[in-house]
Amino acid sequence: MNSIIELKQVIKLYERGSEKIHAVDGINFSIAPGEFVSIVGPSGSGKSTLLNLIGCVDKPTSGVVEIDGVETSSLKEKELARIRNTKIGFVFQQFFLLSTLTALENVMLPSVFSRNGQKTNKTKRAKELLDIVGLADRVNHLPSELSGGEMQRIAVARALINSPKILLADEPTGNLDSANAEIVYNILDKLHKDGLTVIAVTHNLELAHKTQKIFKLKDGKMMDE
Amino acid sequence: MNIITLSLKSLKRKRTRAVLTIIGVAVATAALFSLVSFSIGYDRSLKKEMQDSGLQMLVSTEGCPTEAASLALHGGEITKYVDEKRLAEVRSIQGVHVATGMLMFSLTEEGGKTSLFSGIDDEIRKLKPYWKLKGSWFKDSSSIILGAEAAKVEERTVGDKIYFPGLDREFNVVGVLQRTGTEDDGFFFLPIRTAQEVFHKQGKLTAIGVNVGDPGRIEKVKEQIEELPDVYVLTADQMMGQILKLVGSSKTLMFAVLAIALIISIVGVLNTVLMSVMEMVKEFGYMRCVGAAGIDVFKIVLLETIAVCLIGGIIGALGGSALSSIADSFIRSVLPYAPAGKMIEFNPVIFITSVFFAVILGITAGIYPSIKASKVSPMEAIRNE
Ligand SMILES: Nc1ncnc2c1ncn2[C@@H]1O[C@H](COP(=O)(O)OP(=O)(O)OP(=O)(O)O)[C@@H](O)[C@H]1O
Ligand SMILES: [Mg+2]
Repeated sequence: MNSIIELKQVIKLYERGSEKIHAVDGINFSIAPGEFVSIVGPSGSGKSTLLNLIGCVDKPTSGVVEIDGVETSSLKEKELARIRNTKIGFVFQQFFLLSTLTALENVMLPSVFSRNGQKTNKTKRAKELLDIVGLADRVNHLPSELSGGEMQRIAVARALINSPKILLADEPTGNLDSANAEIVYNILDKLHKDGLTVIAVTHNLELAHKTQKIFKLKDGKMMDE
Repeated sequence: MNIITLSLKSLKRKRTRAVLTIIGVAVATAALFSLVSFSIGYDRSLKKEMQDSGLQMLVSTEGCPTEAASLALHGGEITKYVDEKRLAEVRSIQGVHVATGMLMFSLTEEGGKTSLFSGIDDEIRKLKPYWKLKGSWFKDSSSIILGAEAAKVEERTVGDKIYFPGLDREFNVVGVLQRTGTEDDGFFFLPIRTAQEVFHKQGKLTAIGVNVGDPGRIEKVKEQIEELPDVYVLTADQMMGQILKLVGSSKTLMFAVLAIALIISIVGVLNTVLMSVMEMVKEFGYMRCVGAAGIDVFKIVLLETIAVCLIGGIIGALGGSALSSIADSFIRSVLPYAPAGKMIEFNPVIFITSVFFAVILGITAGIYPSIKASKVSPMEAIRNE
């Protein structure tokens, strides 16, 4: 019971007409606070689906997802939103940046929805984060004026604005060249060393091997390490 | 950055659409503002006019009181006449300050043009203190005074001559009345004797206007006048009641049109906001993914709608006040009777109320799209990607 994330027999079933797809098929898995782990697997193996379940963006068809000791299946949408907002930072595979907001505003977005006061120095914090991901000179750019790699790094900065306990990153280095991938990896590693629990989905085995644990996924099932 | 700036941002993105919606709301609000201002102003002005005008009673011969009131105020022909002897008798009644005889007639020339004539005597000026005359009062039996509109139509001014083929008479224009905003504007005024002569109604009057000074005396004097043979007395209050009744139905109609305009406006705003919500489903999904609760999205959409309606409301109410003189003359033209002077006056309470209504309109129109937006799940972001 010393885990920050606990999955028990989690199943996610998609039905496409008569066809049933077990995107996530009976997964048990447990992550201790402060761990840095990676999830690897072929395309379509269910990595994003799994991450969405952990991130409370999606709900499992069956099974238990516990975040920071809270069983999430019984929670109301409002409480799930709160968990997404405060406990979890999520770097989505497609970034999900708002096209009308500047880089800085996108980074600040989650803070708009947070219920805990202290919004005053969020601008400062957002600028710090942009500085950390190396985009201090892109503060007022719109997503359409940025490269894929830059958007990805903005998504990382945004995930950190509310100082979450858990960082979920879906292909955080997918659009980056090896030098920039290294930079992002180092950021994640530093965050982990500062105590953050980090789960990264990646195709980059070289980076995966630098994490503490690798989970291999195939057809929605966990392979032995 | 907060929820409000966030919702203003999405407004800015859909600028053209926002501007169009704002115009729609502005027009509805302007109509609301003008109509309410007018409605309140109308009753006030009418009362004031009745007070200003010394006309406290109208003595005519027996007949329908509505007819009498409407004819006295609009002109036109009354086929029944009061004997001129009554004028002297009314004057002799104790308490009567002013009594003035009037003979009204309409003359239709060949070709269909109709002119309204009113035979009056000097005393009438005491009942119409608001008359401002350019030129002079009647000099002799061939003098004529023109109402402002009549002068404009006939293109005559002081010193000119005017010939009426239907009467085969020529008159000298000695005076032109300044515009009063009442039916007086359209009249040709003749000395009473001349009028009786040219219309062959010697010794007859359409009505006698009476003033008794202290309104408290009206009832008593009325009773005395009614003792005279063949008379019917209508007080100013009764006349006003008749007018308000007459105008009431026009007002109801105008408010019904306004209500329809407001409903159309609400549906328009609803449609626009709903469309924009549909387009923004993905964005709302993204917001939900990073922790926005349903209520946050609800607020964003509702605030956006309220902002549009607030801006539209303020523009509309400002526009309504700026265009009040146009609205005044338009409304005047569709009403059976309108008092003199400016009816629509700027009233801050009506201004604020109108803007408030625009905001209510926004909330009404925005609530359904906002609920719809708040139900967008975070999965919407992920779907089809
Ligand atoms: N909304 C959905 N409806 C139906 N099927 C879905 C849906 N989302 C995902 N799937 C299916 O579930 C399976 C797992 O998808 P998922 O996106 O988790 O894969 P992934 O491991 O992240 O792949 P990639 O490496 O390409 O991102 C796939 O077969 C996919 O087609
Ligand atoms: Mg994926």
